[in-house]
Amino acid sequence: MSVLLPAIVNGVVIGALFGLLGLSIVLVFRTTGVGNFAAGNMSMFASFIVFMVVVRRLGVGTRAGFLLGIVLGAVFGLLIYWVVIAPRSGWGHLNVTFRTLGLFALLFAVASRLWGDAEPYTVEGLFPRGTVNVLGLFVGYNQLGAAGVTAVMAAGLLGFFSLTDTGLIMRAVASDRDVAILIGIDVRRVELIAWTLAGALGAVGGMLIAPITLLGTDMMDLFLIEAFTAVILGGIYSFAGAIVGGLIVGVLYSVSGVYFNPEVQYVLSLFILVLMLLLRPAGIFGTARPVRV
Amino acid sequence: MLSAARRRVRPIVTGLVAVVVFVAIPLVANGYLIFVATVIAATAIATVGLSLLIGPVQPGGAPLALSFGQSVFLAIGAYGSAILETRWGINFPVAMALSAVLAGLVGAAIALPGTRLGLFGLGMSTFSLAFVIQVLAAGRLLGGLTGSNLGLPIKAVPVLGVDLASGLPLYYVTALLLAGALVVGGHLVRSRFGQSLRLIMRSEHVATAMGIRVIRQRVIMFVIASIYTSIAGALIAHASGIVTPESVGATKSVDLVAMVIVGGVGTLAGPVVGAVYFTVLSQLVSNLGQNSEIVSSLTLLIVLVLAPAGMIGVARDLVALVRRRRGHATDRTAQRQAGERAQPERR
Repeated sequence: MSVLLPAIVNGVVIGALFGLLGLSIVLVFRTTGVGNFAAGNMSMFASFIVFMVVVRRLGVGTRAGFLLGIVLGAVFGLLIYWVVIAPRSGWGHLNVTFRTLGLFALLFAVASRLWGDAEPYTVEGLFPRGTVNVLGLFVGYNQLGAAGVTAVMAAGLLGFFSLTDTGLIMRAVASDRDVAILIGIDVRRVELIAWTLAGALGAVGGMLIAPITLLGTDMMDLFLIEAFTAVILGGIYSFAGAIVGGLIVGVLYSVSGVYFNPEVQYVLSLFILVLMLLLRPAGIFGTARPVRV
Repeated sequence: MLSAARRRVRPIVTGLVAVVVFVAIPLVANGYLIFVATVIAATAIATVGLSLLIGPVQPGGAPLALSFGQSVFLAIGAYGSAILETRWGINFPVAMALSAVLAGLVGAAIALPGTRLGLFGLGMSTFSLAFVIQVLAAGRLLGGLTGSNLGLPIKAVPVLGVDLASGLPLYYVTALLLAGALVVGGHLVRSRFGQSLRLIMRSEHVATAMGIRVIRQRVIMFVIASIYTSIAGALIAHASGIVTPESVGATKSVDLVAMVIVGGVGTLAGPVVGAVYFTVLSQLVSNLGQNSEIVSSLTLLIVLVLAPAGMIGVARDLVALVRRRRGHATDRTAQRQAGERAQPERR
């Protein structure tokens, strides 16, 4: 028990981060029908820009850098949409999904070229180092802060989708794209907002993860796989499901790490992914969608 | 106009040219160039398999199946044959065949649940699997077999006193296997099996209504692609003389997808062109002490945006254009191609 409880707490924290990346994947998938394989490396790249260029080179403080990073992440998402995703996206979802795969490779290659020689880097997080006593457990400020920021982001997103007009429009596109076009919704604008938001979310995720795992070109690989699992677990279409799925995967990941070596952790998560896809492809929160013939 | 006679002659001419090139390369090439040619031919076996698996996708259409984790089968071929040879002293062809059988079984095990998942699900799970295999290959859990991060040097066992697993003999073995892969692929495309696959791509429901067992056909194609890729993995590993986790890493899966798309997905010649382009590029750039991934991923993105039918598609369009310029306005092929392009996007 004395080992298990800290593992569960750690799992919740890391699971929140899986869920945050999952949110950005669901956001893009629901509104554009494209599985974003570059989600992890977009995060990685944005955090390299923030920590290596904005903070280290330009000497901006960590807190200002973090805020600037959110803006930079959004601009990054917007640019990716304009340059890579939007041009001739009529070639179809498969074509655009392949583009995200190309982006995955490109961002990794560019980051390795620019910063790969001396990686991984230790970076100063938004929160102070050290631990705090929570119910008799010692949890790092950075971990606690990451979980807190994720909760705020998730709540903000859910609020955005259920309370604002833009959110309503985005949900309309997500639930039926063709009908949304018919009633005069500007789908391109919705896609643009989705990618911009995904960029900002990714940057936040990366900036929270880098202080915990060290800043490196492959820092997001594990998170991408686990976020995929979380997304599937929550039903590919559900925002809340991505967060809950992330928490479940995070706790399982962390607890299995107590008993097994790290490789088994990877295998376990893949096992959950496949099992879930087989038993309940619609996920915990999803409902099976009928197929039109 | 492409008459029936020319249609029959063309494959023979193509075949003759291929044989001449195949025999001529070792006459003019040194050891390094033979190594590069071997890697190209081996890689092409994998890309041909993947191209058949994804199928001739129409703009806006769905693929037959998807794999973002072909490196898993590269790993099975490479580690499988290397372990069988160095541990059990089994000779190279038998070791390669055994690991291909294993790859086929693993491919079936992945495809049986996988092809029911929908494309995003299949893409994600194969992609995840590629990472897991790389981690396992590098890790301590299987370190006794794989040699962890240091890799596994290959000590090939000669067949009847001939070392088939390196240098010129390996080149000939690889080129023959590529020719075999292309011939089998060509037969597949023309066969009833290939027809049923194309019908599945057009409409799964129509195919089901016509009595085609959709899942079974997809699984069979997945298994074929797995076997192709594992053979490629074994050949590349022998050409390099060592298997490392990086050489069968997840990025290799992305590379294979990129080669297929840049060359021309769904064709047989396209993936070969893609393998040539990417391998030559990576060799040229790595000779300059750099990594070629930036150029190769940029190529992929540019092709996806500007010419999704790949280099083969561009070549076809050019040929059609030249024919029309020359006044073959009645050319049925050109007309048909133009008609196909003019058709509205199918949803």
